[in-house]
Parts: sequence; C-alpha cells; structure tokens
Amino acid sequence: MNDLALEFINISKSFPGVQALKEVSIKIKRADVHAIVGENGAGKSTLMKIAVGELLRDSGIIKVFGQEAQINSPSDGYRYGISLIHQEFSLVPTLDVAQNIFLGRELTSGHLSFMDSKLMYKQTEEILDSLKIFHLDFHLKIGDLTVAQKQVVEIAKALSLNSKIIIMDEPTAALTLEETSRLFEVVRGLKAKGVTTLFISHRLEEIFEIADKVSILRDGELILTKPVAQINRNQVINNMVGRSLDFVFPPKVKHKKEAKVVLEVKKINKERQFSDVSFQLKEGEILGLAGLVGSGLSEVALAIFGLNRLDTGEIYIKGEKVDVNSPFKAIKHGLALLPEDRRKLGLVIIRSVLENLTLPALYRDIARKYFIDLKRELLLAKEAQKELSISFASFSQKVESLSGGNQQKVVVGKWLLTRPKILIMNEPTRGIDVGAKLEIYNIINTLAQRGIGIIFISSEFTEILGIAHRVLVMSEGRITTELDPESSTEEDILKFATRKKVS
Amino acid sequence: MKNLQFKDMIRRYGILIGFIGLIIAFSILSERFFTISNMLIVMRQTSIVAFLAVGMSFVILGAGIDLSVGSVLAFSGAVGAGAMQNGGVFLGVLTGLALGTALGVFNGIVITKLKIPAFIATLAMMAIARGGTLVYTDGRPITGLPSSFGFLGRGYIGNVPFPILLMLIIFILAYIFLKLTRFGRYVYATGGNINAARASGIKVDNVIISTFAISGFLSGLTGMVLASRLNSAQPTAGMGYELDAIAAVVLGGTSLFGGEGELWGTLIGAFIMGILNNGLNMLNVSSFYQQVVKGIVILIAVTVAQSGKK
Repeated sequence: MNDLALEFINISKSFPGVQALKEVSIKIKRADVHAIVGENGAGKSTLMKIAVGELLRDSGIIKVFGQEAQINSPSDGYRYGISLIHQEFSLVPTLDVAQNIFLGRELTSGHLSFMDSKLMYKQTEEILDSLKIFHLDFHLKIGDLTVAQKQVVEIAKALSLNSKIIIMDEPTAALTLEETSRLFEVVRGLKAKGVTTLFISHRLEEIFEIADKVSILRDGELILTKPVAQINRNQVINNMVGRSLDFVFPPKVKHKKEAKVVLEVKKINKERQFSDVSFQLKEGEILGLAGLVGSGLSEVALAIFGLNRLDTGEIYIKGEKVDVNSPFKAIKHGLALLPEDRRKLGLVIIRSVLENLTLPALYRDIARKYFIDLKRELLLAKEAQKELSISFASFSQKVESLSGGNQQKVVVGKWLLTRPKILIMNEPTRGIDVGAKLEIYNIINTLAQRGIGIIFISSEFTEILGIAHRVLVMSEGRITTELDPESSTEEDILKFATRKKVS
Repeated sequence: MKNLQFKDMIRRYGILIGFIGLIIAFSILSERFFTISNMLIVMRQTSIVAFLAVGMSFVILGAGIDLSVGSVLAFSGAVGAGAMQNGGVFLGVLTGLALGTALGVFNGIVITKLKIPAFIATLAMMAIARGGTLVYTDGRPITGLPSSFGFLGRGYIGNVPFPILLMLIIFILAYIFLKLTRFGRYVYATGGNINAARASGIKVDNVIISTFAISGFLSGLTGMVLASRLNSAQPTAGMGYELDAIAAVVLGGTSLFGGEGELWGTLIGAFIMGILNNGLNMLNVSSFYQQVVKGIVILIAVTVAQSGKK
C-alpha cells in the first residue's frame, strides 16, 4: 500500500489579477502532522480549499492514498475522507454538539425514519471519548462553547465522517496556551490512530512542537518541504519572507519616565467582568496588558472606549475626568480602539477600503459640515496607505478581499486619520503572518515615538515582552501584578495570568 | 477569468439589460408602447413607486425594512387633504409631509430605542396608519380640494408632467445625500456592519431613525401627489404599495441585508415595475394575471442577480 496520504502534483490556481498557486507539488505522508506555512497571501488557504474541493484548481493532479482523485466540489472532499476545519467555524450556534456533528446526515430509525437522537448522542459520546482530552458536554449548544471547544467539535465532526485526512486552518489562532497544548494532544492522538493532519499556523513555535514536516509557500510557490528536525526557526522565517529577519521584535523605542499621563483609569468595576482596575498610561508609552482569554482585558478595553458601561470607577484623560459612554465621545477625547475581532467591530467588510479608512475621520476632518470633501478624503487615505504600506489593487476594492494583515492595517489606518492620543490595540497581531506582524510592531513603535499612548493587549506573552515598556497582568478581572518586561519571562506572566482570586 | 467577468457584468448590469429587453419586447408586441406620450404616462405612473422606492432604498441600505409606506401614504394624504380644506394648499401639503415624516421618525425610534425588529415595528405601523386613515376619513374619500392643488399630481411644466420632474429632483437629491454627504456613508456603514459603525463613532441610532424619517417623508409626499392626481384622498390609497417599493429596490440589486446597493438600480427597478404595469395593460392582460407576471419577473431578476454573485 502507498504510504502517501495526499499528494499535490503541479497545482495551479489563479484569481483575477493574481496567480495564487504556481505548480505546487507536495507529498504528505500517512499519519504525519504536516505543517504548511507562509505569509498571508502565500496561497496556503487556497491550496487547502482546493484539497477539499471548495475551490477548483486550474490545473494539476491531486492523489489521495495513491489514487488520482476527482475533487471538484465540496462534497468530493468528504467522499475522499478529507475534512477542512476553517478559521471561521461552520457550526450552527443554536444547535447542540451532537446535532451539529450529525447535521445534514441525521441518523434515523424505524420505518418512518424519525431521527434517532439516542443513537446520535451515543455515537457523539464515543467520538468525544476517543478525543479524551477535552471534557465536553454534548448537550451544550455550540453558542455556549469556547473557541477551543468548538474546534474540538469540528474535529469530532470530521472523525464522524471517517476522515483520514484532517486539515486545520490556523486552529490555534484564538486559543490560549493551555488550550493549544490540549489541542496538540488531540492531534497526537489522531496521529496515533493513523489520521493525517495538515496544519496551517502562523505561530512557528507550534510547528516545531507538533509537526513532522513543514512545507513553506511564498507567493504561491512551494519553497521547500523538509522534516522539522532538519530546519530551524530562522530558516523557516527566512524562507517564508524571502529575506532575513534577524530580530523578530524591533528594538524598543525609548520612553521618557517624566512624560505626561494621558490616561488614568481609577478603580473601574463591572459586575462579573472586572473589578478595581486602575492604571496610568503616559504619552508615548506602550503599556502591555497581558492575560488569557476570559481575563476581562477585552471588557476593560471596550469600557474605556465607551462600548461597555461601567458600574463604578472613573476615567481621566489628560487629567480631566471624562464620561465616555459612547465611541463617539471616546473618539472626541482622542481615544481609538483596534478591536480583537476586526471583522466584527473593526471593519465594514462589504464596503471599500477607502470608505473604511475614512469612516471615523469623516465627522471632524474630512466632511465640511455635511458634505464629504472627496479630494481631501482620497488624499488622507493615500497618506495612510503610504505610511502603513497597505497593499491593495484599488481604493474601491472591498475590504473583505484583503489579506488579514492588510485588513488590520486598514483598521490602524482609519484610527490614525483621527489623530488619536490614546490607541488601544486588542490582539493586533492575531491571525496575521510573521512579516505583517513585524510591520505592525514597527508601526506601534513609530506611533509611540510620536507621543501616542498605546495600550497593547495580547495573550501572546512573547510579543508583550518584546513590545511593551511596562506590563500589567490580569486574571479573573483583576490586575494581579506589574512586571518589567526587561527582567521578566513568559513564565512569570503566565504565573500571574493564571492566579486565582484570593478572597 | 473571462467567465468571472461575464458574471460580474451580469450582476452589475443585468438589471439594465433586462430593463432594455423589456422595453424592446413591449415595443414589438404593441406599437402604441414606445411613443413619447406613452413613455410620459409610464414615467408618471412610475413616479409614485419611485418616490416610495427611494425612501425604501435608504431604509434597506441601513439594513432595515419599511412595510408601513403604503399606509403612511394614505394617512398623510388624508390628514393633509383634511387640513387643506380649512387651511389652504400650502398648509395641507405641509401637514401631509410633516405627518409622514413624524410617523417615520416614530418607526425609527421604536426600532432603535425599543429594539423591536424593523419588520415587526413597521408591520404594526402599517396597521396603525391604515386604521388611523379609516378613523380620520370615516372610510370615505376626502374631496373638494382646492383646484390649485391639482398641479402637484396633474400639472405640466412645458410638455412634461410635474410628477416626473419631481421624481427627478427627488432622485438627484437622494443621490447627493447618499453619495456626497457624511450621512450617506453612515447609512452604508451602518447597514454593512452596525457594530463596526458604532465603534467608528457613528451614532447609529440617529442614522437609522433618519432613514425611516426619509422613508416617511417620501411616503407623505407620495400621499399628497396621489391625492392631487385623484383630486381626493382615498382611505384605501397605497394598499400594497410597500411591496412594489421593496420589489423595485430589490430588482435594483440592493442587498436586503443592508450596506450594498445603488440608487440608480432602484430607479430602474421602479421603472421595470411601471413598464410591466403599462405594457401588460396595453396587451390587455387581465390585472389578475399581471400580479402573477410581476411576481415571476421579481423571481427571475433576483435569481439572475444572485447567480452572478457566486
């Protein structure tokens, strides 16, 4: 029998104006964990979608277990035992775990073919048991699950379809460290069962932890495929970006201790979200807020920006007490928020790059009274594009067609045009590739140098340490410590980020 | 790639092609169809749906829906006509417009502040305003309107019926509103992603209330034009017009999910509805069958538009 699970032979695919894949050939061994890496737009997701039939290749051959496969529509992927787990889940939030797993192919019994819920729950239990690591109540509705749990449901669904090849598109993007390590145990379990896993990730550490082999794509071309043991981190990065990145983190800009305080948060409280949160932010300072998912950091960010009403507490901007009860007021006071979920809160993805870039600045700057100064609008948008080197074909292009990194830059750009004094960035590098991350770090440094106070929220502790001047750690809605990033490690942060409430 | 461009063309201009095709078909089937006098008649008929459809466009672009336009039209027309009997043409028209706008604002407030879905809120308004009309008129037409009021619906400037000019003015104003002002951008952004719009500092409640106010205002205007044309305010005026208005907007390619669509599409959509009415009449198709044909045309148009999307 053939020991290759999946073989891509000279796969090409083009979209209008872009050659997304150029004669890509990769061999994937049975029961391997095979990582696919590359910058955004390198063609990873395109290749994976082609593998399951969600996209149609222009040319090339796909072989599954040695046989040439006719994969031309999404159902073909399932037919050949290949499942793709998307970054955005394809689960129905109002149905429970078992109902989701058997959605569209519900088990029936009797002559009248009524649904056999009992059998479905039983089988669900068996599958979930085989994944052991995650304890999951299969009666829970998907909407009540964490991202990690949803991930597991997707995997369970793939297994119930008897998938022999499971493709995960950035499965860890929204997971905490602990959840990630549990997911990896699941992946190892799959491997032991002979299931082949294709794994897309931007976090290189993970690839070295979990993968057997790695394939690097750049600009639609396969650069190399190698066993992970024969390559190191820097080589991977160099091959991904096609240039040498000696430092993942750019050198920190100096911050003057005597700088003026721009934002002061005094004992703010919100029931069940956070309590007694106090801190100061100075001009040009990058303040890191570290915490795991559910620590209350996002809620604090929303509260400062007027999207989450405080129960008690005070907020001062430049020494003046302010009542920010809407983003409208927040922006007036010079605040800006780069949200955690840019598609939900950051962008109107069905509208153009131009409209997104200038949306918040229309009110005070671009529009004179009621009419939009179209010339000025384009001028400012071009400035933002140049400054942040956002790449897109045209200003009238819809934002949804941009890569993750460029979308994020559009969000940064739209706030820069409001000339903020305080910029809150919640997970600004989530789901974007190494090269774009570096660019975002550089942008953050430049903005800090310009005197903007920056609150940098992240659950990736390496980047917090690499970027921030000062780090506050939050756990269960409280600030548990302040750390100096120069003398602290990831483990230090983790210790305080997992500290339980002491009553 | 070529295929994609073709599909894109269909999606973008399919409605225009259908519109021209419809004109050609009717021209072949009836020689009286494509004449200047008949085209003016078509345009005058269309103007009624077009007023409502322009307002509906604002609402739908903002991800709402307004089922109350037909009833609000009747109510504003009746109350405006009533005010006119005592207070003269100017006061009457003003009253009609003000009432329409007020009912629109009320819709908007119910939707944004009481958080009732637009479908339900305007369904309720549809019943309230229709009932209000019947109460106000006691179920009888209001007649005896000043003769100068007839200009609004029946007047001419040169050879062109005044409602047609009014339609053009409304369309141009609406276009300017939507494309050149901050407010227009806000409508698109709010309809496209209300959360992101709010987080960009847009007062989304005000935007939504404004779109309903515009729809209400234009319903009031339609009510006055219709009353002028019939020289009376009919309690049953505008029955079912909300569907024609929504159909025109959807035919014009505007997404019912909000945030996407163009005003010129709405205008063409309204014209397609008008041409269908007129052309089928000329071909002596019974009004019962006309309904069926209209429904089928909507289905075909939307199907074509969607097939271009994927």
